[in-house]
Amino acid sequence: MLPALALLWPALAIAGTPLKGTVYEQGTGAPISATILLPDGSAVEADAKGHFTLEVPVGTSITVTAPGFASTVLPAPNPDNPKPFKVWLRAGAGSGEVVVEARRDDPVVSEQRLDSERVNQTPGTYDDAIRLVQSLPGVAQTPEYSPKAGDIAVRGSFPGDNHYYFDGIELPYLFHYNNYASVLPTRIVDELTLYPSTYASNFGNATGAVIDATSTWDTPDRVHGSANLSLIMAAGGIDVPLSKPGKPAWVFRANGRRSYLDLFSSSSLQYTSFPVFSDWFGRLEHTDAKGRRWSVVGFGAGDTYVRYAGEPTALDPYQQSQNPEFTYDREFQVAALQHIGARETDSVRGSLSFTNYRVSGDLPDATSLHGVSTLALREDAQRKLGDHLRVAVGGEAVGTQDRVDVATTQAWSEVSQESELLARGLSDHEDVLRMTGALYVEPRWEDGIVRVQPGVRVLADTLTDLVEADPRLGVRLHPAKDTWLRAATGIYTQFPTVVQLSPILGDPSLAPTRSDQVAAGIDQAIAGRWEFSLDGWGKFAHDVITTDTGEAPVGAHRSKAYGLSLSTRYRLRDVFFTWASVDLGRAFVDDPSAADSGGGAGWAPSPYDQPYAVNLVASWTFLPTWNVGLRYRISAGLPYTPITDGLYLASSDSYAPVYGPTESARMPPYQKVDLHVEKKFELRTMTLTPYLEAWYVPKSANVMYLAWSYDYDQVEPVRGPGFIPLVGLRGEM
Amino acid sequence: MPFLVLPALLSFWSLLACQDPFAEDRHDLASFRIAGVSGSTDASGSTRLRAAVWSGLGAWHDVPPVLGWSAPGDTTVTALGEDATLAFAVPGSVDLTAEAATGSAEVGTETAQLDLAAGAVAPPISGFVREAVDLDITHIGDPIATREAVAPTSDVPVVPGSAVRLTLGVADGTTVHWMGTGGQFAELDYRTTDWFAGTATFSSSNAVTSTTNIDPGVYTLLALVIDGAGDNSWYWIDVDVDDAATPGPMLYTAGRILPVDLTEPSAGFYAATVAEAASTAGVTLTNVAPVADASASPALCGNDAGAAFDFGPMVEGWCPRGDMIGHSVVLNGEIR
Repeated sequence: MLPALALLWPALAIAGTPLKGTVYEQGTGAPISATILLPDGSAVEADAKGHFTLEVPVGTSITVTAPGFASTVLPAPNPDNPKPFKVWLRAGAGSGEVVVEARRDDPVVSEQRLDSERVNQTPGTYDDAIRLVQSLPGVAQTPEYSPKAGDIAVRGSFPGDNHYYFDGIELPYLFHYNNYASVLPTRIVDELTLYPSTYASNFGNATGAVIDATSTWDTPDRVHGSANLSLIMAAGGIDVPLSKPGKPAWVFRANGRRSYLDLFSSSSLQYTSFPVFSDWFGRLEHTDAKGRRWSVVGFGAGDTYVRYAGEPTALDPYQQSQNPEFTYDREFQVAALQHIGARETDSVRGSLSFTNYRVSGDLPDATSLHGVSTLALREDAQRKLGDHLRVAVGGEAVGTQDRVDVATTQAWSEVSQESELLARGLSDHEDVLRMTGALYVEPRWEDGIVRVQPGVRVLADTLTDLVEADPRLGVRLHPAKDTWLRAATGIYTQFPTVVQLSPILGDPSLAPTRSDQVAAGIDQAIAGRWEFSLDGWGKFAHDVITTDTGEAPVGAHRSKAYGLSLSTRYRLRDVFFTWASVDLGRAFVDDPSAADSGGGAGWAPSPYDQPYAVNLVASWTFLPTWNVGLRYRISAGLPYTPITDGLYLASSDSYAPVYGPTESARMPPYQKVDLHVEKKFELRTMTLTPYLEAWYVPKSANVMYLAWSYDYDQVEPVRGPGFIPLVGLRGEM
Repeated sequence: MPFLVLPALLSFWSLLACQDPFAEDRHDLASFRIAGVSGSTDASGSTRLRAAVWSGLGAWHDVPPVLGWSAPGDTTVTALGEDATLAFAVPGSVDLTAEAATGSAEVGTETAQLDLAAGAVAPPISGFVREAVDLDITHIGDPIATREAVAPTSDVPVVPGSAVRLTLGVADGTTVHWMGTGGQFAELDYRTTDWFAGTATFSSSNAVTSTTNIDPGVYTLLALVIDGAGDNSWYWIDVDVDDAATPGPMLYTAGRILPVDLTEPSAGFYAATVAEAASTAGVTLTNVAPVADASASPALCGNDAGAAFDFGPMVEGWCPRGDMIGHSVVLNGEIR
């Protein structure tokens, strides 16, 4: 732990003269209830407003301390000084607490947690929590700006197999335009947890991973405001306490963000209306005297732009003059009631939410709309039933109204990234009401070093008219002080989507995908602080649904994925953290024509098969206001299906690719080094942190994607920028 | 609360993504290539099929490539220039494999698929207009309206870096795709293009960043007419790029431009001997002399005896270049 710097003060006081002062939080100006230690060993308490009165001899020192703040030593003040005596404490700075993640008594076997410190100070994440998720063990690494950048493929699963929750409410989508930023403002995210596989019974209807973000729920003692401005977007936020300290707390929070490049760049070669994205969050929250919390919350996000359907640089001038404009619009809005209650041994958390999501893509002669209105009730509770037994129960009831409206006379592959419906090329109009529900119960029996956690989740779906039961089992052993053994297995069912089951666009006979999952691991803390974890996992699914662009979904596939993950971490809170991981794994999808590529004949690599991935991160606050961080990653390139030739399509004078064996080629390995240096300037009421980031990607490892010549006879790698120095500024008030 | 400066900067740097340019693009008549396929169905249900194949050598074929046609229930193999007929149900698809003949200087195997609609009729081509236009290569990125405002001048050779405006005589509702052995195209409408005797590179915002003039010489262009029904048409057009340093009389005849050894500008019928040349045209004309009519022209390479000779069938591969060399022919054209 590093000592706090003392503030200089004139030391000409007259002994025995009473002096009044106030203690404040440095960076916010909020008053603090603190303790002032006097030279004689006695103490004076500052009240809730930070006020104190003391008498202290001239030439001595006082020490000011407060929980959660770095202590400071000051020369005894001069009572004759007409200026108010103010003491400034730095919140949490250099607490140096050793953090051993495995000591958290988490009920699940595989998880990765992130907090704001790691989000802010891990190089290369740009203050976006979701970006950091992409670097966690088990998550496929993708090159920046590549077509798969932003895809969260975990332990061999597809991105569409995941569920994303914010305070228990499912998010329709995670990223704004071009994966530029996630739809969750980092300011309101308190913690973010990735469950890569074998998660407990409280989640379901997903064969991939679950990402669960929870929001900040502190009670501000005064109004906090924030604003930020960048070259791309502007944002603002406010936290307003609506009741007096000591009373049941009412708090209102609001955040908003909008990009504004459209105000300056109305059009470009590709965009006739520049991309605009925005998101918002508002919550009125109440915490009663017993600590129960209630809130009314709303949040949402939107993205819109107009671009040419065809790639302008590939078209001749006249073709470009005929190039149709494609209008893309995507948004969701959520309104919800939430409650959280916790007593010593019991807890309950729930929400009733209404989500309206719509995505549309319009061309002059074709339109597509997919809207989903969702009413969801979710409740989770835990109760202690005895010395050795707890039980978690809960469930959800979800009603959705899907509206699919497509009018087109041709398939529009040019817009397949945004509109699978237009790429499919079929007109359709459907209004589909669907009800899904789930109930789960998970007893948690613990005796000594053993904890056994069997569970079952029962799912029902009106569209497939199926009821499924997913049994799960987790076991945790704690044989020694800093040793934990974990194992889990379970069945995970995921129902097809409405579009997949559409009689026009999909296949109503598609069965739910079922994934049999198993994982086991060991956590060991050495010397009580340095952690090592080794995890082995396997996922074996059947009735997997795959969809090629412009084609109907196909079910009845099988997939298998397995791997090992070795990770280590060391953390002194607010001072230093490092973590490193090595992931080895393979993922395959059945393909009768596939040669043996490591998974046996008849198994082709999954699009997210990544045989190895290595991550190394270190961040060190080497002085109270200086931080430096380094991050290195290297991973195998993702597979792709090679194009072996081009077929000339004479009717249109164009070429179609002739594909080789599925996913039989692989991109070059990807490497990236990120460096982060920041300096914090703590002003009286705000903190400014300018920082420098730089990335370096070796040319040989810097392939974003491949580009083929017009007739697919030649291929060239498209490389991203290799070295980029960046500067930024973070401000907090 | 963070100021998100970094991502903003990243979005700019992402524009630095780079890719080495390809040696050829879809406008290039360079390596062995199927440049067009056409089919038409007669009342008996048989479909007559044709293909335009670029040899990779020039506007001629060393040996006509072998064409393998296949459709459900029928296949046939022909040489380029021979009529191919298949019996299959339309609308339907025909597959084509064009392979350079064994022993030929041509090299390549290409595949194509033709989706043929019932009752397809080849779009008729009523001719073409070839005019110089006062634009240089630096204007290739100008908007269509800006270039349209520049009126063409005359059908004369152009100098390196300047432009030729080509208009094909086709009806509305068709689309013309242009290909060539050099230079760059900038279309004006569905049937008109400016062809620039130079090359330009463009920035990511489509601004011209550099230009290069091409060498003097004759460049062969192909105008492919697509009607969407599968029965396509095409027309070969030469353009002459000349400069003061390399003057040379040329015979303009039926879209082709061939070097001649007669310097006096005139128009009419000319007797000439076909000689081999190392140029893209593949032949040159010697012993050129005016004659009264075409009655002395032989039946050669798809041309009827007594009719003005047309080098078009040579480009189409109806006969190898070697069959032409040393023959005397009569052409109708203009020497410039």
